Amino acid sequence: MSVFQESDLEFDFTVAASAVKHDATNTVFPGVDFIVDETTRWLWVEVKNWEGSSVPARRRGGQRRAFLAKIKSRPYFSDTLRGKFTGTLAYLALTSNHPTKEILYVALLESPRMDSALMLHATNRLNGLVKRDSIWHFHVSAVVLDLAEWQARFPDYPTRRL
Amino acid sequence: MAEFPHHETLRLVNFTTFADASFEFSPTINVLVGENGTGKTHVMKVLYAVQSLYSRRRITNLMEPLLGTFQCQSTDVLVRNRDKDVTSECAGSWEGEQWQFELAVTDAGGSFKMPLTFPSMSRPVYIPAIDMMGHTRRFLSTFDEYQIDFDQTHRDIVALLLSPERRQPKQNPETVELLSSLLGGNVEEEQERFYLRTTAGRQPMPLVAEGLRKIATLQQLIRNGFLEPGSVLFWDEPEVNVNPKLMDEIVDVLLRLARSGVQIFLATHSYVILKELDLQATAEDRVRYFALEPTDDGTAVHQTDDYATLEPNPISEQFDSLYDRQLVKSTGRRRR
Repeated sequence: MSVFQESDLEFDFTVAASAVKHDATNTVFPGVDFIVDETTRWLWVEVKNWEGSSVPARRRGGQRRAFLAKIKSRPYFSDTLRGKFTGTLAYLALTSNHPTKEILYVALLESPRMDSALMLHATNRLNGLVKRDSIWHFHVSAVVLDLAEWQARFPDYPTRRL
Repeated sequence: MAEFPHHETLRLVNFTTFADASFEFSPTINVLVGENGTGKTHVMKVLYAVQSLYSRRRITNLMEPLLGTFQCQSTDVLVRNRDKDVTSECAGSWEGEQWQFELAVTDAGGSFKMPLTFPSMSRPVYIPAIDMMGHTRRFLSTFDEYQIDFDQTHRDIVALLLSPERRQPKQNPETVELLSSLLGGNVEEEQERFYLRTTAGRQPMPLVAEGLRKIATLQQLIRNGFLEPGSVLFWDEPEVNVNPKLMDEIVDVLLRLARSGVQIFLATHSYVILKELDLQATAEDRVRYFALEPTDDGTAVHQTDDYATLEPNPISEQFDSLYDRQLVKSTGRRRR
């Protein structure tokens, strides 16, 4: 069963060719949460969910603002999200598991007040970052989604809140 | 926040694109959003024409401000469905007082009725979409002498810009400073031509980037004392030729003016302006958004004080479409 938990979300990748919780095995570099093998490509999924916190609901206003400030900052994309992508690549290369097929890097951002204009901008920025300085010989691209968009685009990988 | 006399309501019946539409305005910032041709500029121009009329000391010609502002020879072209023998009615309120006028199509080319007595209004300021600061020299004499394709708002803004500067701006000196820092200098006028004075020297305004000329216009209007508490500013598409990076400061300036008591009307197609207002304004700023929706029965108007609930929002809809197409391209999957 390829059913994994991240934050307060459960992902069911049973129909995929295979799926692993990557950050459970890669303890050397920053890494994405899941690697899902779709036969013709890999989905690398990173989940950032401000609601999946142990902070009580009444104190989430401050946490929400802090999270918004964090994801709006330039280093969050160039360091954190890109770092998880390159860290995953490095780990796979070191363990002789070189990527040989297309990679779609999915950053799943659960954030309030991110409308489609901001999500499009975030997608453009992350896409540029993962393609920058590209030395690999296969296609890479990135998208930024929220949970509703994930469920609409990938209904074959059901999710639910725990 | 102190409140000054301001436009409170407007109702347009059979006027241009409107079959019957009502507006309740905020005393601070009012933002008009809608597709091309829905009448955003018409709303601002009808308010501007009425305010221009009632800000005069002596009212001599009732029809002149309307014809001049809409740049038409006869008011009957402003009547919606004029082939159906209808009458157009425009009514509004200012400081609790009602104003109203009617337009009727006649063989003589339109008739006009409007009350002659009304409480005095402040002099309005209308910044058109096209820049005028780079075109001031001999503009007033040319406009007054010849029939040229500019309307009364273009003439009026040039006249305001060329007015003598106050010795000391009574209000908003910090805002003038902020605009100076954006410009990298100050505006100077000599023989009806404007210049931008910076540490590098003096540059004629036509050579200054048009986006910066918009900021210079705002600075000059404040320095000349036309954007003080109780003033009303109409600004048509502030985003034209302005780099989006400047929008956070421009919205900051607009909020400062509104907080000082200037009522502001904006017509915009800019996501950046809308989002900056959404992010920078607080509930106390009382920003109000109007969505103008084209329907088979004229333009429908929806208003809200929360940008997130503005419907329909064609700017947001376009980003929805772009984002959707980007996701289809990247993931290979459509929404299910």
